Amino acid sequence: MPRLKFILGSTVIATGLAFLIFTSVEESAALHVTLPLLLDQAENPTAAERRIQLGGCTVVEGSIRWDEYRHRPEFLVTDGDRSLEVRYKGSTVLPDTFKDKALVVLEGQFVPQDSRFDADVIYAKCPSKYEGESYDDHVEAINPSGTL
Amino acid sequence: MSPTVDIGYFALCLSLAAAAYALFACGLGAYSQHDGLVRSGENAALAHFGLLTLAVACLWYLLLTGNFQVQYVAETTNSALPMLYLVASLWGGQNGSIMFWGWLLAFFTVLILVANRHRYRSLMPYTVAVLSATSCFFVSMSLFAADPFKLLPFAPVDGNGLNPILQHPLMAIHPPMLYSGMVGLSVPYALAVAALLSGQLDSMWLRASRRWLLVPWMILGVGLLLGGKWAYVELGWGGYWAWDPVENASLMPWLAGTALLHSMMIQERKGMLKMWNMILVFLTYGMTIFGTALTRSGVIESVHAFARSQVGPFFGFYLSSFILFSAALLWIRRKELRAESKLEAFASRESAFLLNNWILLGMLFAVLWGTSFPVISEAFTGEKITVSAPFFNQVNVPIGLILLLLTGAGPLFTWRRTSTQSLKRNFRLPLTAMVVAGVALALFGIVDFYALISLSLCVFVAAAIGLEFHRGAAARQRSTGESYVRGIYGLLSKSRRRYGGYLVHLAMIMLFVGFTGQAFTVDREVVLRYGESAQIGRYTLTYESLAYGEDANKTVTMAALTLLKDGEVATTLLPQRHFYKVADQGTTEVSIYSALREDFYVVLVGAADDNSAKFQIYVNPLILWVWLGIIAFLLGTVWCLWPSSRERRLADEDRARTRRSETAPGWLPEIGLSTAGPPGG
Repeated sequence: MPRLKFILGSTVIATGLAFLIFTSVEESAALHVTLPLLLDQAENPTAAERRIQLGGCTVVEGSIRWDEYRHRPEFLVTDGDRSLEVRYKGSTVLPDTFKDKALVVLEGQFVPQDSRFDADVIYAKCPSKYEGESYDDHVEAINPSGTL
Repeated sequence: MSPTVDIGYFALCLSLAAAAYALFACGLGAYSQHDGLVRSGENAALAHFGLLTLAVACLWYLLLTGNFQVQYVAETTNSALPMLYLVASLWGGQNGSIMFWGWLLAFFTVLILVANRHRYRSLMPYTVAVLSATSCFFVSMSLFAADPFKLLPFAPVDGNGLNPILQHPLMAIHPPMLYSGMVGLSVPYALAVAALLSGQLDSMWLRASRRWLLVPWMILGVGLLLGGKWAYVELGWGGYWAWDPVENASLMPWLAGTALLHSMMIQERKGMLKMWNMILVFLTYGMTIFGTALTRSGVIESVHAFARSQVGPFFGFYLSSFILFSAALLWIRRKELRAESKLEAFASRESAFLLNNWILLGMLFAVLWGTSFPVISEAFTGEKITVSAPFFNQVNVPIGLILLLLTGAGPLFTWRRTSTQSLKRNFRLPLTAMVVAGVALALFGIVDFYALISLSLCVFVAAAIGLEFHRGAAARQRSTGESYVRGIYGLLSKSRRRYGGYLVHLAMIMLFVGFTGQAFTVDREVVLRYGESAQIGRYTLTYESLAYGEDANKTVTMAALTLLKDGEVATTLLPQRHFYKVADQGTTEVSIYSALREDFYVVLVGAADDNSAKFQIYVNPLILWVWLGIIAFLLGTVWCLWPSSRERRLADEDRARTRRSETAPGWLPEIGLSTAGPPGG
């Protein structure tokens, strides 16, 4: 009876896929939060425990301090109101779009005792001069609401 | 202010009216079988194309003449930008690319109108209606949410310019390739809807859509890999695929299209899987819309810097009406979509195809799940969780390997049912080759589990394909007495679909060989002073000197390094950092020594004041096979597409027949383009 074999086959595939997805999500899962939310919840132990994707911030103008080989910078990010110190600890060279006032998304670990973010991945977008995209739009776009 | 802006905007408005009329006239004309109305609607579709072409020409003119009062021109170009990128900036920004998308759609509509002026007449009116409906959507989005002709309240002296990292020839051709691929997939969708609406549910719509699926599928596939090539040479992180949402958005329709390409063969042959094929064609098209919506609406973060804009709700509306409409159509026609025959045995070519479909869709689902995980997790747990490359690799590597196995195993099964005896006969050689290769590779020192399996499977698939060619050629030799080599050519030219398909499978092997190399990537960071060397595997890298230069646009810092391979001088590497003054941005210019076995990839990170410099080094084994795979993929697909002499003859007969019966409109120009004939091979 081929029908039974097909049902069996598709069940095996579906189960295998679900298992694969379920076990792999942990691998690179990061909790997406915005800067204001992270700063508000800095005391929350979750903030330090989990891998964080930090969105909705821009590089503070003039804050980038490169190391001697222009590889791993320290800089400040801001939501327009408060700011946070960031250290880059990754190995790949930063994207060319990383510069003053760039919109950045960081991934890494929050270190509450030093009030610092250790990023190992940094995505950067250039701000556009003529587009009406203000900072607030950006924040709202990537995280309308949410808690830790 | 230039009148070109008004002309362009006006043409865009009129083109919307033309598309709306084409939708109405073709739809109503098809429903009431009113030929005059259909013809008038088809004319409107031509007019729509003409008007949109005019609008595109106007925007191009504005871009080339640098009219910076137009917001789009100011945002995407500046006066220093070379010609090539001025031309390419038509699709470089959001608003331009949406209008360009609409133009491509209109172009495809005209193409299919011309190609099918004497064929598939019962499907064409509905097809044009569906394509015009899609055109209406894109043009209204262009007009109401992403106006490319919008003026700034002032005229800036110069524009923003194009980001220096995008100033690469590959970036001029990669986006339009992706767009044409995605847009082209609307045509099979339109043909499928036409079949459902007209009730002609035999495999005519499949025959009519085969080439319209294969061409966009090919363009999309090549476009995806060219994007990877750009990332590899330009971004400086040593890789070519990051599983970024925008990349995934174009991969998903490609995967669905691959599934459809395989399962449509079963329907053509056996009359099975009719419902399934409909679902697949809807899925393929839906993925193009969904992917675009996902990445353009700002819902998902992406490294691709698309501005957030008002297009999100448009896509949401279109996507939901598309799903409702398709589901309703399928529900209404569900009884007519029943299979004409049943699967007879589990061990058959049919079930191998079916399995291939499940695995491809499994992969699609995994990519979809990962890409939309931030949205899914937020909806269910309130936490927005993102996943990145490690997730996608961990899930897709095993799935990809099963797919690779099926690529080789599928053709070894015969249609209907395969006897145990023939299974043994067919599998003996490829399996032996695989085991021998596996043992040899393990002895050679390749112990990575996945890599070993992947490379052994590549040998298995290659052996299976070789066996197919050998048997075919030997059979021809016996029956016609022609030579073995001529026999192979005979197979390739007589059964283009089957043996061309094997050529594409060979390209897939090359790609998998390239992908497997990723398992052995070496990543090193070294600091060297002048004259110092570093040893990386079999390579010795010596830092010779550093040079500075400057031109009107940029300053250049360039390091010179000598690369020794096994003690012999291989090349001089010149990694650079550029700094563009106007854009106030640097770019990383990597230097690559490329060979079949591996690439030696150097990034100049930076130089310190004490004559030392830091370099990031990647040794990427087998990566050249990915780029060679692209070429093989392109050639193999073109081989499949080329009409065989039999198809050309049938197409001519078809044309002659229709011309005699005079049911076709006589206004379309006569060109020698033939679409799919009956299935060959």
